[in-house]
Amino acid sequence: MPSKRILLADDSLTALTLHRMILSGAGYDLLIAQDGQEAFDVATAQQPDLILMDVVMPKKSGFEAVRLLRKQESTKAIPVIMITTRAEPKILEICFNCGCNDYINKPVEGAVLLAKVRSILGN
Amino acid sequence: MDSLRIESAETRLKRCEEQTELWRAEQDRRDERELALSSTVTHLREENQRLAERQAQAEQRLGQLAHLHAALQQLHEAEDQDTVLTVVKEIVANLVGSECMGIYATRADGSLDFLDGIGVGEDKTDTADAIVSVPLRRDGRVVGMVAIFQLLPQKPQLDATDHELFTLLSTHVPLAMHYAGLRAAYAHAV
Repeated sequence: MPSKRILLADDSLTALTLHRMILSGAGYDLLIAQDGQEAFDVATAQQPDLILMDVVMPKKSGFEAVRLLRKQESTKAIPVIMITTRAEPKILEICFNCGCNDYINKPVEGAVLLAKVRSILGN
Repeated sequence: MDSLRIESAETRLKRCEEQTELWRAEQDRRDERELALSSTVTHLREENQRLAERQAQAEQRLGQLAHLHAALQQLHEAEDQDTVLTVVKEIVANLVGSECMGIYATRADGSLDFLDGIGVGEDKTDTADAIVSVPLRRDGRVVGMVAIFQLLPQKPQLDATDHELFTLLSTHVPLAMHYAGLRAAYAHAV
């Protein structure tokens, strides 16, 4: 069975390195984007199985990128996990309203990240 | 004639009893096999549970090591001192979980010089209210400090991984700053 592809969208190289280590160690193929616009472009071109999206990014925020992805037929069903710094109800409401499937609070714990990814990808 | 019938009935009865005995023996064997299978299933479930727990522990440790690896890699890949400061901020924000921190250099008189931070300005030179102060050491001398004033609301307290990270920051931030400075000087000279 081919391994699932996950798009990591984050402007922090430290966060990207962390997520890459955790997820590649669990056998996932990874795509990388370092801003919201690039996340949208890579998702459109590569059709990943899941997107892990930071909220605060240059060019387009994570929220804006997800809104655009949800408007587009080819990407509207791709599950998105938003990585948030703030876990306040208002932020989470925006998160779900713009079409995210789940969220993870920073700092990201490896076990939590893997559990959420497996829960969505079903493996 | 009657005695023949009685004998025939007795023979059939005996055969039935023998057959019943065989069935009972077969049933006993099945019960034993079922018991053995049930025991195997219980054993496998316990083994599965143990393996799941070990996998969870391994993944937790992998996550901790990933924190340390990500921090080290980014620190030592930084090409200039501003990037080192950015990486330190990223480490504290993304790996520790704080949006209120400062990075300081120690002056000759022991006072602190604000270099960079998140959620605090350069006038924040009093670190007495920090929840943790990480001394940055080089050649056994304190050359600076990373002070964390507040954790994110969802992070109730510091854990063992954070303390491992602080130990790493203490040694590697000054080194990364030093090498970034050397790289810049070299680039300038060339």
